[in-house]
Amino acid sequence: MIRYIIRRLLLAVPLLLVISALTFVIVEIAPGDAAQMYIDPEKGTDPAYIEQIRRNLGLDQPIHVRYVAWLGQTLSGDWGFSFRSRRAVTLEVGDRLPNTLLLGGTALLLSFVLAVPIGVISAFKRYSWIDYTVTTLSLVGTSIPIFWVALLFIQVFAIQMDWFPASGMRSVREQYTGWQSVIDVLHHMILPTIVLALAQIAGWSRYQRSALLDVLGQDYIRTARGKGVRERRVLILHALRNALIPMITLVGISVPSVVTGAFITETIFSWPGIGRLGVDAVSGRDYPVIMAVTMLSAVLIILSSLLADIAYAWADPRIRYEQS
Amino acid sequence: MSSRSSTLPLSLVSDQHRNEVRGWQLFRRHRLALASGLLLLMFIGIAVFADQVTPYDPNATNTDYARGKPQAPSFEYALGTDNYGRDYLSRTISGVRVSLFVGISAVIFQLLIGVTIGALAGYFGGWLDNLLMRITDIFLAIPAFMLLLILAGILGGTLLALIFAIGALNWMTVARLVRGQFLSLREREFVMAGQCIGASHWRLIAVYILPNTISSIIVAATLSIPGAILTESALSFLGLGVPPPNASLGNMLGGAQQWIRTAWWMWIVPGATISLIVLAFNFVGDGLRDALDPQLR
Amino acid sequence: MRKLSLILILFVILSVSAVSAQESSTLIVQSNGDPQTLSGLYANDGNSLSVVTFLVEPLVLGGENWGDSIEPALAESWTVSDDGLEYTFNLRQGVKWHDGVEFTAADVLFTYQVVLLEENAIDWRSNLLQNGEPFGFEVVDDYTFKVILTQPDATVLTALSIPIVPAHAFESTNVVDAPFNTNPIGTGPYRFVEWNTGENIVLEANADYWRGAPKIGRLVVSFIEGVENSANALLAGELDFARIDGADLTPFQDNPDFTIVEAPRDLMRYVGFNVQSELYSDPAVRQALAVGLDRNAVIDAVAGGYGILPDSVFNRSVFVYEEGRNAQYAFDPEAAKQQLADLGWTDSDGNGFLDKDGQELTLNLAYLGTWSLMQNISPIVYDNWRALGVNVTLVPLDDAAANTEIYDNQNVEKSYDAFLGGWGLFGPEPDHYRNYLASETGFFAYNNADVIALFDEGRSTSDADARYGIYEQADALLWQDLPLIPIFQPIGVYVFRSDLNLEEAEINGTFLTGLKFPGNAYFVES
Repeated sequence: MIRYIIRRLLLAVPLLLVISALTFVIVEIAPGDAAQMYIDPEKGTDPAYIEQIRRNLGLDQPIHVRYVAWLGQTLSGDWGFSFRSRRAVTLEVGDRLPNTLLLGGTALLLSFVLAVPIGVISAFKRYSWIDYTVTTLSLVGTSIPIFWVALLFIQVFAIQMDWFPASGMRSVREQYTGWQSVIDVLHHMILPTIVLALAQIAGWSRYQRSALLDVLGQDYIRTARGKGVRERRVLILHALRNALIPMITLVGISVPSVVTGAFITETIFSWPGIGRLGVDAVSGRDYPVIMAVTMLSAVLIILSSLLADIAYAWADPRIRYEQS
Repeated sequence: MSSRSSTLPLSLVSDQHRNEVRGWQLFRRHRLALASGLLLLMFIGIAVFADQVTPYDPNATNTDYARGKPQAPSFEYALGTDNYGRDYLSRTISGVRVSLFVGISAVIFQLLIGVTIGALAGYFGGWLDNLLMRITDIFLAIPAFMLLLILAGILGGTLLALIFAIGALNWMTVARLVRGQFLSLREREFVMAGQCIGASHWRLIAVYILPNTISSIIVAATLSIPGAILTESALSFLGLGVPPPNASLGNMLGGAQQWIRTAWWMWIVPGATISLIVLAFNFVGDGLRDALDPQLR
Repeated sequence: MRKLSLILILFVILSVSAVSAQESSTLIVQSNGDPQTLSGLYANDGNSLSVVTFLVEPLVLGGENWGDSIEPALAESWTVSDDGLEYTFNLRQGVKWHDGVEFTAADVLFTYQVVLLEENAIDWRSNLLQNGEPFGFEVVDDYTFKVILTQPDATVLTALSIPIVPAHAFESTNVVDAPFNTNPIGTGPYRFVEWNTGENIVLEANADYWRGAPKIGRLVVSFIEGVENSANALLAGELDFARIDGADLTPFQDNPDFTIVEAPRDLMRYVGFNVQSELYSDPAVRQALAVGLDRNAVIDAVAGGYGILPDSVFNRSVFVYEEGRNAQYAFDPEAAKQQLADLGWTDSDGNGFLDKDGQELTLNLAYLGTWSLMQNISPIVYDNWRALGVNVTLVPLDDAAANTEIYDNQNVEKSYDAFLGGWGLFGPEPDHYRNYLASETGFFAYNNADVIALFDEGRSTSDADARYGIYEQADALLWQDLPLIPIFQPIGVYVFRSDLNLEEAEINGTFLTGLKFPGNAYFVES
């Protein structure tokens, strides 16, 4: 197992290198450059001034020189300065990443906690009205655009009912400390978390349902049933455990989409996360930030899929990675 | 897996035909899926004949009528107008066309890439498999939405660019699925028989193996269309998708944002339409999977 | 007697608690997102200025983003020599920087010198040049500062209206990467406390402020993007003051909890032509398009009617503006078609679009696609001009692409025929329009020798009447030539909680924050 993990981690190195080079090149091809973002249209007539800005940003160097420089710096822990904010990228990202992880992680957890029982119920009551209702509802859930749901939720729950805040992560007016501040953040999290989780719950519960049906169709379950093992025992001991395995993979591969896909939700709820930062950086060709956000997301994706595989192996002793 | 008898290529056709017939019966039994299929056919029909069925030019403004505010549904305008006085029914119809076109084309594009890569990797194995799967890994590890935004900037806001961008970043699941099927199918007796009678690699891939993966590909494709449609609508919602003045359901929703309190039809209509189309695709995909995927039967 | 003293005591207690409530009270205002910088030297975008304006001050008000009239700020008064070449500023005494150090003429000199250093790449540099040569500066004493010109320049006061920064904050650092840029010190009514990335910036009252300590103890600039989200936040009580427009105003109208104040803003929304482009180099074509554009419909559809229909290429705040002097290009599609037909543009091949000598009248209309206002204007321009027979194609661009393709001051060659844009040109000084209207590399590639000559003359003339005459000519010429079709000047609509009193704070649309004296805002006890 350890050998497998090490091998996977080693494989991730060239993967990250390729992704970083690819992103670098693509940003380079895109029209416009960061220097333009600095120029006030009413003043920037002087070409020398623009050259100066390009020099200050290091944009006068050819792309391969800049890439190697970026790589060297990044590896030594210096992620440079954002072109846009002139702040250290580590600060820019470091301030926001925890917020995104908090929102995304909670949404994942909520989805998992809700999706598994829903899936189990509909699998066991296959073709019953419960199954149909659950399946239909969950499909409706995946089919509604999340920004639409978000806008609706704000109108209904934040403005009409006034149950939850409409924006932000913390109350600005009251300066809470200690427990109160935790509760305050939780209060702000509820709506965006539900919105983010909604799409997941639907897809996952469907997946859980089919995974369980799949397992229930297997010979060993039939055998167990045939031997007269009580239904509940079958469910808990055999079926569910095996049906959870594909779910783990699914959670693993959903991590990136929840985290980077949180962008729209983050914008609508003014949540101070990394999605917003990434998109602003793209539109301003802010290399250092684009690279940081892309690479962090890539690392996150690779790690979560590795974790999923490890969890998979742990949950299913039949799977061995040594020889593959 | 065991339910499908391994046969010689000659009987392959009839075996498959039998599966299709049984599949169709199962699909028909799935009433929601059937209804959704009909609904989709209707939407596709509307999209194809959009120019004939739209009561007005979807981009024509009627500012004297609207006076800066969305106008509620009336005898003249069945679904009302937006704040420019553009007929909302015509815009919705043309939005359905755009959404379906982008969704379906992007999925066809991603199938082309995904099936090719998956088939080559799964059939040949070895270093080629390794290489192609590493490429797939790279694409899987790329934060797609970020790249989509950059690509939208490079390619400019055209429909084709949008299709290309969505397709190019979403073929990986199909590739893995097809590869997996090829890996197992290529060991089967009928393929080996084909090898014995001297069939070329390409013939083995295209005639012997690929038809056996079609049902999973169809299911995967049907279930990918909703994702593509929702991605388009999200990009358009952000102003980076379908270029105006053309309507897409996404940019209609984006434009409706500020009218959410005052003009219900502005956001109910496109939102409900997207949801309905996506839902229909999901039901059809679900039904197809129940019908065609032997593992769940 | 006892009763009276009781009442007195109660009154004292109440007033004390009222005062403490005031001190601990918080005013929450809106900004679209994290600032690019908190340095007054570099702030040139809305997000940065929305914060920086509370922190720093210029010598005199009236420059870009500093209001619409020349008024004393850090300079108490000034005198001009008879030849118009020497400006002597008497600085306000006893003003303290937020860290307690005294403000002196050395800070003023430092600021202007730092701006002039080319390597610092500070936008304001061109403000301090005259024919490419920097102004002369002289510190007479701690509270007297002199600016020396080589020739008279009527725009010098607005040009010098640049935020002053403290020299002592830069003693051991360069300006580009100074810690000051994220931890600023100023002389303004509020001082910087903390920056919660992605959330807000917290400021607190500067008790030593020379206009008097602000009445509200804490000011938070909250990052909320999009007017609809701001409206939601106002309704949910998460914002106290914001600029709202269009449809989002509805819930605040006839709502006793909120007060709405209108204030004109020094902005213009326009269609700018690439005057060098083959098809649109003829002013007559541009005039026909102006007649064929329903600008009132744009105002209704995108600004909820809160806009002014311009009859000059200058904003209304420019001293030379006079309503009704220029003939309006009133919307008349039939007349526009006729004008184009007179110029030889007819639909000879029957494809619905006009053509002349086998060439179709096509128009690539570029705009910043992520700017929703431009996105919102585009359908009407598109449809109006299509109706005339112009084959319009809309080209939305993202920020960086727009900066290269549209907002490009370097190249005469432009890749579009026309674009949708908006400028913010503040104050009465028409010379601010030079880069737009009198520069061949400007956005419109508009190179009219007569206009350039008038601008040059206007800049070096100090006699007020003579200047008026010069710019009056320029105004008429530009309105005829129409390198841009001004669509509308937006009216800012500011919405705030009704228990917030902003009378003394003065809502003023020419300040980016909307408030002229933010320190004077206070909450009314309800």
